Amino acid sequence: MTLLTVEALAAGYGGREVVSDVSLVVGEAELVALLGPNGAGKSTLLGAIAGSLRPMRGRVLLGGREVTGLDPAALAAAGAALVPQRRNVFRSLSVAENLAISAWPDRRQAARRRDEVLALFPALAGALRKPAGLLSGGQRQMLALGMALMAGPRLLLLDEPTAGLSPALVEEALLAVTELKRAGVAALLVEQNAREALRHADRAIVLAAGRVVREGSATELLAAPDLGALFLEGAA
Amino acid sequence: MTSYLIAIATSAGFYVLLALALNLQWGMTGLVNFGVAGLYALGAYASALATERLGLPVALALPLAAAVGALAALGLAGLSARLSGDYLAIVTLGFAELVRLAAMNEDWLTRGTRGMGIATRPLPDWLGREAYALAYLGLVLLAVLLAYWALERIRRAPFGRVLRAVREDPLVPATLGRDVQGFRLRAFALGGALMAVSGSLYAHWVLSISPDHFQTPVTIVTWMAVVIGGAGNNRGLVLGAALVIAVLEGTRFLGGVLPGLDAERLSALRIVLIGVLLIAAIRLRPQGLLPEPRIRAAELSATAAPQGDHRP
Amino acid sequence: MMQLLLDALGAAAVVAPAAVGFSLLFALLGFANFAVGAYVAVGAFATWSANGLLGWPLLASAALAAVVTGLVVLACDAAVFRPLRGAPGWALLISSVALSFVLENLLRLAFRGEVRGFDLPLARPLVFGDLRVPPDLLWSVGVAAIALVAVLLGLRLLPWGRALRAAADDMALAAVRGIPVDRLRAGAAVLGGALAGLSGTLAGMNLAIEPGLGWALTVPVIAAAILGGIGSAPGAVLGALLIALAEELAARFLSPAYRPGVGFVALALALLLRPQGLLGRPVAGGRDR
Repeated sequence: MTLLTVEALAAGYGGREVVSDVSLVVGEAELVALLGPNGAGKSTLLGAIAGSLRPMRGRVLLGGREVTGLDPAALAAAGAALVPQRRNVFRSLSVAENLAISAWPDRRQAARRRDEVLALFPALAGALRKPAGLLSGGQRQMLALGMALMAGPRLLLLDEPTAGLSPALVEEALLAVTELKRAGVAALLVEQNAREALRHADRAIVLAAGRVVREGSATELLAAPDLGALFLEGAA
Repeated sequence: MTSYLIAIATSAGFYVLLALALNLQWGMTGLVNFGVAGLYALGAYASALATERLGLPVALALPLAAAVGALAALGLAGLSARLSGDYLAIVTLGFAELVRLAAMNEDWLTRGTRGMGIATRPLPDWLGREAYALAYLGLVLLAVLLAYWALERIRRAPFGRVLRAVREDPLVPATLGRDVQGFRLRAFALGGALMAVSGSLYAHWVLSISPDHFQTPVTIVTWMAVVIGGAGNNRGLVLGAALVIAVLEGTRFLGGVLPGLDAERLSALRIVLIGVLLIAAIRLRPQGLLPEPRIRAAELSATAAPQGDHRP
Repeated sequence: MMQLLLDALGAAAVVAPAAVGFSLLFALLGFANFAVGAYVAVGAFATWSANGLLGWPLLASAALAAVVTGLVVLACDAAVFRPLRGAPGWALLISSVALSFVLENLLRLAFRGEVRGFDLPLARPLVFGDLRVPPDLLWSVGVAAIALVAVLLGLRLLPWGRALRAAADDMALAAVRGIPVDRLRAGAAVLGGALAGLSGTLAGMNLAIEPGLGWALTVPVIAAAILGGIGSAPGAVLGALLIALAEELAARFLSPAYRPGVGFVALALALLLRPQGLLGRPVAGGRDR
């Protein structure tokens, strides 16, 4: 069952096309990694899907419903929540407040979803009164995911959850992402750490110079002899 | 009528000087200065005190006033230089209020609100009334031309190009190995000096100054001239200043059209009009009448790294 | 000494609500609104109109003034600042100074520059030893304290207060998480305006009510907000207390004439010693234009 369908999407800035004719699908409760070298257009593509950037061409469908160009808040209401790259928690609010505030569009479900999030990420339960700005990098990513889950989405759009984290924390953050599957939530994950991401993802899509150059199951890609070349391409 | 026009042209000259100075600080460098009236007042009082109390001629009092203005501006910029524009805005505004308070309350020095009479005039007394007024206008015009010429030279010189680059992105010249902080401070100080020069010329023209002359509308009118004329463009702001003075003076005659208004309400109405005009100008034409020609990156790197040591 | 602290508390009661209002406006609308002093003047005249013209009691007049000022600020935001969203910072900054002069002189057009006062019963100060406590001072400190505690608690405890803090922290993320940021901006304008209006009422009790009253408070109010760490509401209260104390000290030991200049000097010292404010985070550079 496909959840997200992207058809021939093109996007860019100031008339310059960064991503061209990208088509992809994400199934229910599937974790798909979006990989590629620096400047391949991964974040641009995610922005165009999430509505923080208006697509130039193409369509985005969520559960069969067209959601092209909806802003992130409207898209979240439709069932796909964006987790931005760095500024993804309210630093001066406590963990509990961050979760509560993120349930704004659907406040009646707040208590139930909060319990679900805390069950998914027990580390957060012990830090409810802590300001989010003081959390460790891994816990912060958990909180960011938890906040997105408070809207009750079926799909999360994750923009490099491991950016700026130390190697030990990268693993921690990606484990938090895999927890999403337990909650039955699909995710499209933009990732710089290809190898680590492939170890956790179901499937992966490799982008280079704004186009899809490879697609396949994670195990298959992880075993590919040209894996290194795929990600060095464009960087060399 | 002629003497009225000469007087208006002369007072327009003071504003053009202020606007040129603000254009250096804000238009070219991006440093907000809400203390124009304060630096103007400082120049006027410094010059008046130098001639009246120390007995110096205007020819010496003027550079002295310029130095005082430069020092004050340097201090202000230094206080908040590493912070965002909002801080510089409130600091300069507070400074202008402090100068006015000091002028009002240090009676022994400034004669407070009664005003300070100035007897020293820069031009010879044997000129008749009309001729003297005309000659003074010539003096102010000369100052405007000198300032304009100097600022245009600065704008075209590497210094000016670095200033504008600092304004667009403080990191770029820094990566080219330029001392960004020093450039901004120097520009702000230079602007302060020019504002003080304008104050000095004003003081020896009106011959009686009081704190009332240096209230915030002076700052607003100067800002209007720069905003309407086009930030960063010296030619535009001369046009802007002329337009603003025309509106200012033109609205004086509103009393004839609206006879129900007394002097107090009329002046309030004029300030309302000026404010609305400024808000509208910012909204409708933020780049001003004559926008600044953009600098090219290549031009900048060519001048910002003269030794070529940072070029690939 | 006690007298000095008491007087400082009275002066802080005037500055603090507007400083919190300024901080709120800064955090939600994203620029330093220099018209905050003019909003205070609007509040003072709204209070005077209800109290002096219509004969309402002062407390009811104060409530009316808070509502009126809140709506005036909302209208000003819609007319002047909202169309400039996305414009460089200087455009908002200068527009706010221009707006401040427009409002002040509209007041002058409507009410003329003459000096007025509220219709207050003359009351004998309460005397404790050599401490003289005018009932007015108790009243204004009480009202300011109740209003500020209510606002600070509301920001902590109410869902809308939490949303305001979240949006103040990160507007873009708030929008992504589905918080209605446009309604919050409007709410912040009304609340910030109401607080400035309250400052207007309290200023009118201590100072002569004339259109220039607000401009004279602009520097102390903004200085208090910056001193406390711009954008932080509790910080703004603390900043107001410090500014007021410095004003009283200057009035006592230097000259009362320099009271309005104290805000600037305190701010200058603070910028030298602790640029991020008392309770604030360091400010990243680059918001100049």
